[in-house]
Amino acid sequence: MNVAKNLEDISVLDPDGHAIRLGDLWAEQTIVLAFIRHFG
Amino acid sequence: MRDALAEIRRRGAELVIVGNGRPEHAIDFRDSEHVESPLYVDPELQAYAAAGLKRGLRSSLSPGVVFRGVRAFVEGKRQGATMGDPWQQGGVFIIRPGNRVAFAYISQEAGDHPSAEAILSALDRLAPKKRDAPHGA
Repeated sequence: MNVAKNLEDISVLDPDGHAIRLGDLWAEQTIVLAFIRHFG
Repeated sequence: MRDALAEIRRRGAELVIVGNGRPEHAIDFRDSEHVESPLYVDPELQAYAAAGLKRGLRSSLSPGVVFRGVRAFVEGKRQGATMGDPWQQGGVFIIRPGNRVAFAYISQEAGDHPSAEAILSALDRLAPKKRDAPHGA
């Protein structure tokens, strides 16, 4: 399994509530994608 | 150790944080903790599930403890045992263009997380670091 392929079409929300496609985040640069378990 | 976020960026990468919560939680977090990295939320845990991250016992950590833990990471500090753990049942991936996964760490239990050093070392393996580059300029 390639976790990037699994994730690329999933959207998350920015702090303003806008949906962002995860794959777009690493389309042009290397990212360290850190999932934290709890956020609030 | 120097600021981990700066070290990540110096290696040509960006730190992206995904949390479990609502966008307003992200705003609170960003503002109170002075987070400079891109920050997103995954309220339905779709991305967590797709990443194969563990779901288990819920943490008893307060949000404040978690926030301090994240700040400790982005500021490059080591976390003590009493500091809490932002990666609990989370994970860290280094992903490059073309869906190339250069590093994957899935936390198995509370307190299980990659060190900043492991992440930076993985980035170093991708491209040589410009050790003589001035910083803060």
